[in-house]
This record gives sequence, C-alpha cells and structure tokens, in this order.
Amino acid sequence: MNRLTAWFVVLVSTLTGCATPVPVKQTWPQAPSEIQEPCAPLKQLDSKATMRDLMMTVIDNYAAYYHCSSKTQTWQDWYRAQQKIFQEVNK
Amino acid sequence: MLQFLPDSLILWFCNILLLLGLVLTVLGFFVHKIPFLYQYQLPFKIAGVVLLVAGVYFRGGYAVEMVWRERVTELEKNLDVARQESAKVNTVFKDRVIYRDKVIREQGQTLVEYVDREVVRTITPECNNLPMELIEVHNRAAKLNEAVQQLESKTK
Repeated sequence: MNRLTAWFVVLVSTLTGCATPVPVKQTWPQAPSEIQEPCAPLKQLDSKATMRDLMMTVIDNYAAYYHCSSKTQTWQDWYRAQQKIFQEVNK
Repeated sequence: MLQFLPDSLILWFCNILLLLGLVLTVLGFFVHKIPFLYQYQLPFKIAGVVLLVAGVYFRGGYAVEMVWRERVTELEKNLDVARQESAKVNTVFKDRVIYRDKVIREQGQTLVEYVDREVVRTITPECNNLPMELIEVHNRAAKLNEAVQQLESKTK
C-alpha cells in the first residue's frame, strides 16, 4: 500500500510539471541574405595605371560605395519596419 | 496538466463539485428533520463546506485557466499575422536592394562605356603618365579603413 502511495505521489508530481503553460515565443525575423553580404573593399590603382584605369577605378569605387550605402539604408529601414511589427504583437 | 483535459470535462467537474457542495451544505441544515439521516448532520455540514470551498476554488481556477488560454490564442493569432507581415516586409526590402544594385550596376556600366567611347580619345599621352603621388594618395584613400581594422584586430 505504501509503495502504491509512493508511486501515486511520483506520478502526480510529474504531472504537476505540465501545469506550467508553455510560453508563446516571439522570434526576431531573419533579414534577407542580400543585405547581409559584407561591403566590397575599394579598388586600388596599379603603379603603372593610366588615366583610363584611374577613371575606371573611381567609377568602380563609387559604385561599391553606393551598393554598400544601399545595403546599409535597407538594413536601417528593415530594422525599423520589423521593430514596428514586433512591437505591435505585444500591444 | 489541465491543458490536456477537454474544457467541458473540467467545467463539468467544477460544476458538479460546486453543486454537490451546495446541496450538502443546505442539506446539513435540514438533515436533522429527515429520519435515518439525522445523526449525519455534522458529516453532511463538514463535507458540504469542504466540497463547496473546493468547488469555488476549482471554478475560479477554471476561469483563470480559460482567461490564459484565450490570451495565448490571441497572442498566437497576433504572432501569425506578424510573421506574415514580416515575410512581406522581407520581400519588399529584398526586391528593393536587388533593384537598387541593378540600377547602380547599369549606371556604372553606362559611365564605363561613355569613358571608353568619348573620354579615352581625348586623353593625351602625357596625361596617361600618372604621377606616383596621385596613385599613392588614391590608394591610401582607398585603404582608410585599414587603420580601424588593425586596431580592431589588436583588441581581439
């Protein structure tokens, strides 16, 4: 009888573990992979570079800057938009 | 554990407990007038009060459980909506960055073509010999972030 009571107590105490409801988990979304790519390094000139090489390098570097700037701006806007959605859930 | 039981079962259990407690408590006051049962007045009263208290307690617990379940359901619904909106936002920004990259690449390409078509022929041979100082300054400017990277690698 004592053993039966002990088993009953163990069984009940295990069941009480389930009494705590599983909390609803809100996860932060994954950012698009396109904006997670690192910015490209700027190009440098060769010691025997010509005027054309200089212009091409300048164009490439400006393009690299604008690519990077676009990604950074998108990151900021993405963060603000997702934060707004995230906060709306708990209102 | 309550989550695994059907709502109706819990409600029935609570109601029966409450009703039984109520009936026994009331009976406890009149049982002395009923033949054969008059000697059970005290047990009736005690059992009635105990069951009534337990019934009220469980009924309250049930109400709280239901409120929590409702809040969880509402939160899950809100989360679903948020997930959908979040996915939409991701698509919008992904498309935006792809579009901007495309435009920048196209503009760069147009400029390169313009340089090759119009500008290169205007460059004199003297202009083509770039001074070393110019190349050096340009390259140093392109490596401005190296000092920061070196400092960061030292602190790591």
